[in-house]
Amino acid sequence: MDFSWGERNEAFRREVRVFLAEHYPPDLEETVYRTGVSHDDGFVRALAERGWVAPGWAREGHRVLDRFQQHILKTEMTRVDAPTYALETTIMVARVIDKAGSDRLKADVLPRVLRGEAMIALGMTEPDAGSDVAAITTRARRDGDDWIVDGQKMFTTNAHITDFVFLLVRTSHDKPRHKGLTTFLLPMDLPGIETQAVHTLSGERTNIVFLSGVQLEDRWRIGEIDGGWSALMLALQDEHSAAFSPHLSRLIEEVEAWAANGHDDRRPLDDPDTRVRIARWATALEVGELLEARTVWMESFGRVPIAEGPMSKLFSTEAIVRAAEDLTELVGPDALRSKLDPSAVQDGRIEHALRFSLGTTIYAGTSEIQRTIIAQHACGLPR
Amino acid sequence: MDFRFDTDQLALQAAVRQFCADLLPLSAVAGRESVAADSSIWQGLAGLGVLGMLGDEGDATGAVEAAIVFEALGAHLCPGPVLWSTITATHIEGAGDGSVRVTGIEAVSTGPIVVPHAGESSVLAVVRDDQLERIDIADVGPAAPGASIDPLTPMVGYAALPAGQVIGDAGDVEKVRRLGRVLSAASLVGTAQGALDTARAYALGREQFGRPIGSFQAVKHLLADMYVRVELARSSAYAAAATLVDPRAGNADRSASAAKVLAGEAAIANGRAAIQILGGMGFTWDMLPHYYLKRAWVLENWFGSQAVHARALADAVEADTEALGAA
Repeated sequence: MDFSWGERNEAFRREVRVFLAEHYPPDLEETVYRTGVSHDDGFVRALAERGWVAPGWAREGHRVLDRFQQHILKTEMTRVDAPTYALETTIMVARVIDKAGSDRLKADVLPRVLRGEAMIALGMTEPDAGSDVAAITTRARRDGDDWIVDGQKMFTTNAHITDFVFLLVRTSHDKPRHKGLTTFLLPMDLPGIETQAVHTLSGERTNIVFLSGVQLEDRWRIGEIDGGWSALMLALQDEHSAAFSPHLSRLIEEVEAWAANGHDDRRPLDDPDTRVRIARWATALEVGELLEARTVWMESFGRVPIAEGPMSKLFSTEAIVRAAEDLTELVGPDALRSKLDPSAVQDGRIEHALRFSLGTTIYAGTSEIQRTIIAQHACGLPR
Repeated sequence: MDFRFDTDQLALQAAVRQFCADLLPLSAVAGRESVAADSSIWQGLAGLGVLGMLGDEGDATGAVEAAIVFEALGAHLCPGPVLWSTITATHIEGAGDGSVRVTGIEAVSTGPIVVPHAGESSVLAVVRDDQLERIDIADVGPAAPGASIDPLTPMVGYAALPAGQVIGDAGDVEKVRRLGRVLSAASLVGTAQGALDTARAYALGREQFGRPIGSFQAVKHLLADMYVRVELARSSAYAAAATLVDPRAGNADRSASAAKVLAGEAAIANGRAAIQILGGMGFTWDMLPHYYLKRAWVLENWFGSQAVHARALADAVEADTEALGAA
């Protein structure tokens, strides 16, 4: 048994930190905060030059990172809130295309994706189909060799700037719900697509996409007709080892910095209450990091963390929500001033954590869904 | 002992609810962001007698009625400096009849001075430990840029305040603070109830997996917890209001602290739970939960946070224990 990351991985972590210090300067952080868009072309190009776009993807002339180093890269980028969300969804879909797409689609799309030049947003959820994704009603009907798509997609974050949307649609109405679905890669420059902004509590901009009579060539289909459910499952596999603990790490660092600063000759850190609160959340952080490391370790030898992934997500996200509330109370009313206020405490990062935290228990499977999966797969309870 | 509202109080509650339905529809809340409360709202509140409803005899007459009003206003996310105008009405001419809008702050020794609703108010009441002061907003220096976490509670930051005119002594400060605690608690009860009503309606209407999400136990339990929190907080807030009016019923300071603790907890936890129950939609600006949670975060910090009042209660318990030991 060995709980350490090892010198090689620690050296890699330092390498990532140096990269981020150079390529994610405060002015870019400010832009990302103000626009609510977690993507920057220049940042992704710099990642591509390092070979860090799809770092686990074996291909010619590319240094593949092992599963642990991929995790380190991801957690370090998440810890500083680097603008990588569009890239994450892009790679998630690119993997599906690689496994299930036609040769032509692969040749058309994957090289551009791997150079960091084409971005893909997710288009699964709809206004009436969230947790219950099989309830989608956006439909594609045959029109000669093409398809005509009509419907709406919700929470298509970054769809206003991406080249494509990964589209889940209903292609058969006479089959069981999840057997009549097909996935496509939708080029966003086609006529009939309208994207509207939806603003969220964290400040992140997401979108609703309206599709009316969009004519889509069959070459954009991913996988078999009516085989969309299995393509979807391929896409969601990547969510098992999502790293939420770095958000908690960032929050605790800010509160520690606040607590270590003197106000009127007294440091908050000298107060036992402050110490107890910080210690509690530092403990939760350590547990969260270890749960994430466990899912990565399992994946490193081919096991699917079917209950461990949900357990990790549930623990870390609920810890972030409670920590943000508790530490905001500790800092007091001053903690509620935002980054846009020059007098904000710790550059508004505590206030942002408070708002941001509330989404983490919802997206990528709500806490209720995670508990249901754990009850079923870890406790062996009936559906 | 009688826990019921009397007929006058029930009539007042009905009138305020009607006022809220007419003038503060939740469907139009986005239009009330970052702007002054419309003059029709202010005239309506004055017309209902809300702004001048607290007794000017030096007692707390009207505190229970005021709690009824602020609970209803809280549930409708009422804009404007209604709370401050009401609790300072006996000290500032024109506040009670609605001709002057009064906002207020509790003085802090360090940090920037952040004044809610300053843009629409003409008078700022400053609560200091030893005295109550008034400052004309027109006399306050240039505003610093700032941003409020709650779009329905616009804030203005100032580097410094000019000297105020003293309008009350330490005794007056104590009365204003007590009313502030109890009525901010009542507002938080309304906030918690509004979050519950929003989440309940959504759980009944939203269908996933072929049935309303409110039929799933995971969602039912969240709603049941919300209900229990708001009921506890409401009982505590009305007990505090009734105790202010009639001190024979208990210790006014302790019941006010208890109300502020429970109501703050209920409003924040219910705001969070409402977001969770509305799921992805709950996280957007298009739905109501974020307004309730942001309003709860603001009110939590007015007239003492949960932590401040929990410490005050601990001090009271300690004093009781020592008294028992001495006896």
